[in-house]
Amino acid sequence: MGVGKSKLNREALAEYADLTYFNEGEIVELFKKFESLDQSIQSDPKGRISASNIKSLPELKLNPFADRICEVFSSADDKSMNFDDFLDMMNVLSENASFSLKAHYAFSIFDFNKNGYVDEEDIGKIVQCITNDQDGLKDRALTSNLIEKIMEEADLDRDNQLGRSEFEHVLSKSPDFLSSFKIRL
Amino acid sequence: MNVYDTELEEHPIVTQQHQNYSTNGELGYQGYTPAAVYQGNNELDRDDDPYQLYPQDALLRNRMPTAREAASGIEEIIMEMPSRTIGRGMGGHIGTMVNATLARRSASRYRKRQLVTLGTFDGIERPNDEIQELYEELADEQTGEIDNEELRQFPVSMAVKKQVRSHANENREKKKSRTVGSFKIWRYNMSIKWRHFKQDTKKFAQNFRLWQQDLKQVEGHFGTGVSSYFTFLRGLFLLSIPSFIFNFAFISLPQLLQQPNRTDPNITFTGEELLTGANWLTETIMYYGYYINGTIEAIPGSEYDMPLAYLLATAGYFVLCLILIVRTTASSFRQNYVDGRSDYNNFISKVFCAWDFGITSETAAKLQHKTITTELKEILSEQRRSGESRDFQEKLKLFSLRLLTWTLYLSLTGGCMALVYFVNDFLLDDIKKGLGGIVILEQIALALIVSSINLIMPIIINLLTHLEKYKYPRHEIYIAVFRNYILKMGLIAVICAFWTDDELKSTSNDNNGSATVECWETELGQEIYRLVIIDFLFTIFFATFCAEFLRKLLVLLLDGKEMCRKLDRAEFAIVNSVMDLIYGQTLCWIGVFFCPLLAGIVFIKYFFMFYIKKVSVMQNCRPSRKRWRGGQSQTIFIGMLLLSFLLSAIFLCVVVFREVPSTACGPYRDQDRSYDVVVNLFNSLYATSSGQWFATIMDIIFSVWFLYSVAAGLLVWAVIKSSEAKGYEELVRSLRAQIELQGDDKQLLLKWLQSTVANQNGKPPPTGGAFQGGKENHVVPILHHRDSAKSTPCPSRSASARNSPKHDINAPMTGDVLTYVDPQHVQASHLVGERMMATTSFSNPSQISLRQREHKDPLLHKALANQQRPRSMFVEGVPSSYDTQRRNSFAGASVDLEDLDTETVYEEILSDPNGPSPLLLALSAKVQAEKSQSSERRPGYGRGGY
Repeated sequence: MGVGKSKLNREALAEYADLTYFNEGEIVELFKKFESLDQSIQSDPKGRISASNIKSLPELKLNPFADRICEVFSSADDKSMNFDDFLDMMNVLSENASFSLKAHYAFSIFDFNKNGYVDEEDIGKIVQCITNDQDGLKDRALTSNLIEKIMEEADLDRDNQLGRSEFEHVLSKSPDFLSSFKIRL
Repeated sequence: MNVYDTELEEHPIVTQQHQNYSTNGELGYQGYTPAAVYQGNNELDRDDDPYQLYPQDALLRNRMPTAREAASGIEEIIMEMPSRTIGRGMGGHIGTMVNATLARRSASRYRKRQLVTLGTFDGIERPNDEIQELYEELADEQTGEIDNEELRQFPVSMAVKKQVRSHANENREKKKSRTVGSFKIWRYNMSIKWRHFKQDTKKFAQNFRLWQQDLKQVEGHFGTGVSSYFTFLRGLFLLSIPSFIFNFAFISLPQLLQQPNRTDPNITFTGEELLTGANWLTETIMYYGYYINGTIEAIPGSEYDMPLAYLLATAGYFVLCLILIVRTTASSFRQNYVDGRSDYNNFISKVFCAWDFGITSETAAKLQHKTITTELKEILSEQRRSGESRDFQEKLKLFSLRLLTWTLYLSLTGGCMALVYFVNDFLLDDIKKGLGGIVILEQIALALIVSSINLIMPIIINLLTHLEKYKYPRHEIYIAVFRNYILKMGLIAVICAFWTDDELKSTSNDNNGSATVECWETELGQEIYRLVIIDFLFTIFFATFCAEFLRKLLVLLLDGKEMCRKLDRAEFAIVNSVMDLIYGQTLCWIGVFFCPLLAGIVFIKYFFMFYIKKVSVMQNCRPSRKRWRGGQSQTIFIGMLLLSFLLSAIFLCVVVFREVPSTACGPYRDQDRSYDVVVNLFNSLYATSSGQWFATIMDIIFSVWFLYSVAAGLLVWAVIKSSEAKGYEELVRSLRAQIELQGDDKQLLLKWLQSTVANQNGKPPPTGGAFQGGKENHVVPILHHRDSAKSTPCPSRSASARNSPKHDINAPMTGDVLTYVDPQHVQASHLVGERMMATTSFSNPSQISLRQREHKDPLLHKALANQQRPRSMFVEGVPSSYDTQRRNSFAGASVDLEDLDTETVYEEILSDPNGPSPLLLALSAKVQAEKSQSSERRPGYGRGGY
C-alpha cells in the first residue's frame, strides 16, 4: 500500500468504491498495478501512462483489441490513461459489472471506424483480430461469409450495420459474452 | 410514351435539367459536402427566393421554418414513419421511448467525453448543464439522492461520475434544508442506510472471494471453459460449508455432548475405517444408528429432543440447498436461455464473444487464435452442410445405427445396474452368513465396482455417441451428458432400492439368520460413505494421476520420437469432470440423512479436489483445441444438479414418510414412521392449553378447504404468469416487427434524400470546402456509391423522368446506391448549416441546396405520408400551394403510381425554384393523355385524402 496510500487518500478511495464495482482494498490493489506499469508517474493518480505501457498489462498484452480498449477508455487523444481511465476500464471488465455497461463498451470497442455503428468494415476488423490475421489477406472468403451471416442474424432493420441497440440486443442473447468479456482481478 | 418524350424535349429547361441530372449521376454523390450545400443554399436565400415567383405561395413561405424548426420538422416526419405509426398501440410507443432514452444517453455520453477532455486539461471542474442533466436523469426526484448502483453502471467516464457525485452531494445539502415530513425523512434515511448496508456487505464479501487468484490463473492459461469447472467446484464447496455447519450444529454436536455407550467397547480405531467407513466408525456420530431416540440434557434444565432435531435439521438443510440452487439455476437460466427458441448466437457469439479477455498466457493466446479460426471455418461449412438434407437411404442407415447404439447403451446401463444389485446381494449374504473375517476388500467391493463403472462407462458412452454422427457437436455433447447422467442416477437408485427393500428389513426383523442387518440406515450410510471416498480416490488416481500426470510423463519421455507424434498432453475433460461432481453431490444429498456428517466429508473432499485438480491442470494439461462454450452447458449442468437434488429429496421423503425405520437403532427406533415424531409433537402441543391456538392453526392448515384454496391460488397465479409471459412474447414480437419497420423508415428516408439530391442538384458541388476533414462524418449523411454501374445516367429525359428516379428510388432496396442516411445526421446537418450560414460567405448562386428543400418539410411530410400508401393508389391533386395554380390541369385527373411516382412529382414540384415546373407541364400532359385513355374514374381519393 505504502506509496499508493499517500496519493490515494481515504476520500478518494471511498469515492472510487462508490463509483465502481470494486471495494477499497481492490482499488488499492489496482492502483499498485497501475503504478507498476510506469514508474515515471511517481504514483500520481492523475499521471498519465502511455498506451504502450498500458498494453504491457498481462491481461491486455495478448488481447487483440488492446489498442481499441485503450482508445475507448482513454480520456485524452493520445490513448494514454490516468488512474481514472484505468479504473474505468477495469470496472467495465470486472466480474460484477452489469451486462448493459459491458455491452455498451463492447460496442465502442468493436466500432473500429468510430462511425457509431458496427458495420461490415468493423466486423472484418474483428475477424482479423480474433483470427490473428493482421493484413486481412489470409482468408477473405471467410470474412465476407461471416459478415453476411452475422448481418443475417443480427441486423434487424436490414441496413447492413449494427446500431448500438441492435448490437446490445444480440449480445444479450449470447450467453458467452459475460464470461468472455471479463478480466478477473 | 412517345407523346411525353416529344413534349418534354420541347422544353429547354427540361433538357437542361436532364443534363444536370446525368452529370450528377455520373459523378455520384461522393464529394457532396455540406459546405457546398449550404453555400449554394444561402445564395439562394439571399438572391432569388423561389417563392417570389409564386405570390400565391405566401402561405408556404410563411411556413418556411428556421433551421431548428426544420430539425424538429424532421423529427415530426420521423414520428410519422411507418414504424411509429404502425407500431402505435402495440407497444410501439415503448420502442420510441427506449430509442429516445438510448439516444439521449449516448448523446450525453458523447458530450461527456468532450467535456471530460476539457475538464482534465484545464483542471477545473465545471458544474454545467450536462452534469446537471445527467444528475437529474439519475437522481431520485424526491430526495435528490443518486443510487450508486445506477451511477456505477451508467456508461460515462470516471471524471464525469465524480462530478455527478459531487453535484449530488451539493444538492443533497440543499434539499435537506427543505421542509419534508419527518416520516419521509426517516423512511428516506432508512432506505439510504439499507442501501449502504447492502453495498458494504457486498463489497466486504468481495474480500473473501475464494480461490480468486487460482481461478484467474487457470482462466489465463486455459480460458473460461476449464475455469467453469473450477467455478462449479467452488460453488459446491461454498454450498457445503453452511450445510456442514448446519448439520453439525443441530445434529452432531448435541449428540457429541452426551454420548451413548458403545455396544462393543473393544473395537478400536485402526485407520482402515477411513476407507470402509465401518467397524469403529459404525457407532459414532457419523451414522444414523448412533443417534438416540430420547432427549439430551447436556445443559441442565434444557431438553433437546433428538429425533425431532434430527428430522428438522435435515429438512432445514434441504430447504437451504433448495434456495441456493434454485436461485443459481434461475439466474443462470435467465441469462442463458431466455430466448432459446430463436436460433441466434451461432455466429454472433462466435465472433463477438470469441476472444477470452482473461487469457494471459502466450501459448493459450496463440492457440486461441488458431481455435477461433478453425471453429469459424467449421461452422461456416457446417452451415452449408445443414442445408443439405440426408436422403432416405442415409436416414435409414442412421436410424438403424442409432437404434443399435441406443440398444447397446440401454443394455449396458441395465447390465451395470443389475451387476451392482447382485454384487450387493451377494455381499449381503456373506455378511448374513457371518463368514467372519470380513476383509476390507469385501466391504469396499461394491464401491469399487460402482466407481469402475463410472470410470469406464462414460468413455464407452462418448464413443457410442460419437458413432451416431450428430450434425452438431453440441448435440453430441448433450446426448452424451444425458446418457451419462441416467447411468449415474441409475446406479445410485439401485443401491438405494436395495437397502430400502422391505424384504431385507423383514429378514432383519425376523432375525432368522446368524447375522442380521440390524440397522439398514447405517448400512446405507456406510455404503454411501464408501462411494464418496472411493469416487474421490478414483478421480484423483485415474482421472488425474494416470490420465493427466502419467500421460505427460510419457509425452516427455517419448518426446520427438516418430511413433508418438500424435500423443500429446491430455486436455482437461470438462464434461466428465463436471458429471463426476454432480454425481458426488447427489450422493451427498442422498446420504445426508443416514450419515449427517457427509456434508463435512464432501466439504473436505472438494477442498482437496480443487487444489489437486488445479495443480494437475496447470502442470499436466494443455489448452483444449476445441473451444468450450461455457454459457449454455453451464445452465444444463446446474439444471442437472437441481434435478439430482429433487430426486434425492423425493427419495428422502419416501424414507421419512413410508419406510419403516430400524427397530434396533437410530432416533426413530420406536416409531412406525420417522415423521411420527412430528405428529407426536403436534399431539403434545394440542394437549397443553397454550397449544390450543396452535392446534387450531394446524387444523386449518391441514383442512381440505385450505389445501384446495392454496392449490387454486397457485393455479391462478400460474395462469396469470403464463399469460403474462405470452404477453411479453407478443411484445417482443411486435417490437421486433417495429425494428424491421424502422429499417424501412431508413430506406424510405434514403430514397427520399437520394431522389431529391438526384433531381435537384444541378451540378456536382465542389468537393473541397470548409467541411472537408475529419469532422465531416459527424454532420453529413454519408453518401456514397456502392456500385457506380447502377447509377449511370439515363440517355433521355423521358427515361430520366420516368424510369431513372424510379430506378434510383428502388436502388437502395437492392442495397446498391446509398448505404445509409441517419435521421440524426440529417438533423445535425441542419443545425450545423445554420451556424455555417452565419459565418461563411457564399459564391455559387446557381446551386440548389438540399436544405432549401428540407425547409418545405410540411409538404414533404405529406409526400411521405402519401408514399406510405400502397403503390396502386390513385392520386388526385397536388400540394395546396401549387394547387391553386394548377388545379385546372390536375382536377379530376388520376395518375397511376405504377407509372409515375408521386414522389417524383412532388420532388419536382417542391424543388424547382425556377418557376412553373416543366415537369409539371409534362405531367399534366401525361395526365390528360391518361385521362383520355381511361374512361373509368376512381372515386374517393380527393384532396383531403392525406
